[in-house]
Amino acid sequence: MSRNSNIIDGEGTGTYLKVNEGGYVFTQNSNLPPVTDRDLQIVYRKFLTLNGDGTTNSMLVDGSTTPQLFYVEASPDNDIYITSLSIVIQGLNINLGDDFGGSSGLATPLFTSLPNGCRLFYEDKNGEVNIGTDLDTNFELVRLCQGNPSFGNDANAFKVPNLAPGGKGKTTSDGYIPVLDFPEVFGFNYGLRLQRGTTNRLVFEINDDIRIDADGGGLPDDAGFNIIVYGFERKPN
Amino acid sequence: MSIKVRIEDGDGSGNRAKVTEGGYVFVQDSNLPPVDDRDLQIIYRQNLTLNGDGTTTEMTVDGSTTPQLFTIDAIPEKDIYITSLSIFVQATSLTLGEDFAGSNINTGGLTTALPNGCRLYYEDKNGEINIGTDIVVNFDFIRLCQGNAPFGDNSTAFIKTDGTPTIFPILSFKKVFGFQSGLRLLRNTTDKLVFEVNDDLTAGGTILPADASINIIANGFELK
Repeated sequence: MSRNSNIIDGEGTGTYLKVNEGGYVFTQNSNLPPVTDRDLQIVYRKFLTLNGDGTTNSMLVDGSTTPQLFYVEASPDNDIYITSLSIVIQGLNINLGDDFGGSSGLATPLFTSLPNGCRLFYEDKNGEVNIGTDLDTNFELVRLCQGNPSFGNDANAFKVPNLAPGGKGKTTSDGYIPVLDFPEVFGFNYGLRLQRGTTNRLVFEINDDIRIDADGGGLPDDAGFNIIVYGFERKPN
Repeated sequence: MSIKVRIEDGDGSGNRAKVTEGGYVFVQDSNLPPVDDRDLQIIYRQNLTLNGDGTTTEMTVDGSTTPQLFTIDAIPEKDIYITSLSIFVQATSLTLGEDFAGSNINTGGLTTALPNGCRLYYEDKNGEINIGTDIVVNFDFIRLCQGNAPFGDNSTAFIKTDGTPTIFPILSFKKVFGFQSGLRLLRNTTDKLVFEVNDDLTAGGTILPADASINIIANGFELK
């Protein structure tokens, strides 16, 4: 037995729900946020740090023998939704050609593009899921972020001259500042989730010796490389 | 016993709602805004002001001994949703290098990047939640705002050069942090958004030149 039903406004206005010829129910999004005072959402902003130690955010390390992992991981209490990553990579003579962090500008380059390349991935119950692989030049980072934000022209496209980000490991040199927007690039409307109470994590893996030249690596002395994660924590209901 | 129910168009056209093989109801968003005459939403635009006094918008103050707090606070009757911050930093010699609001030409010669740095945070029942820390050079504002709005080229990237050189990055809470309606200051609480100055930013003082200027405007809406 089946019954036909009309859905009618619960406030007694007599207004019925519309269904069009295609069989679609008409919906409208309110401009207003839902009324709730539960405060379930908290701003989240952290650097990716070496082995998630919460301190070491400079990625100029030697990953040529043992891969070095910079990550943020799930928290015990709240889900973390990562909406975007802010990458800064800088170094003398940095460019969008055959170069990573100014590697090509050294008098005797150890390498130009990275021999092994970096990898960005996350890990959840599905295992390791790659976000970006073979990141062996600056341009690969800009491409991963789909050219966001876009500015500048010609040889200065996407380049900030003489930038000096603060915080640990600060330096002053030309650099790129790509931003990976998860809703825009991957269609995750709320961002990438690290589920609470799990070992979920977002990882940037370094597989080359990208220490500065003075320490034996292949990048110039004024190189800099770090990533900040933006998003929100969501408390359980 | 289960009863099968079909959803019919209320206007009597005979149209019935479809359910897909996956079990989803077909819906279509109207292009039109909802008809709502309740006027629950009011534009909100205010400067962060010293101790929330509503008047002192200029942030070139001395916070080296006692941190100086520029705030907007929750109000008794309405929720405030802050959707974006418009940051304004200006000085004749401003650059994105080792500089904070023209500090690179300061006559005192004490510093270029700020020794302590500024902090942007909000405060609600969860305590103080940092939005931006260690803001010691102009570029740290650009990065906090993820390069929004991008413009310019080479040494003038992100810098307005007509008139006094200025950066004016925009922090979008929806875009950067995924807060769909913005950051809320709940009515009738002590919730607040704070920009904390921890150095002597007096214009013409030991760090900043005389023509330095800094302020922040919060944009959003009030919800009745």
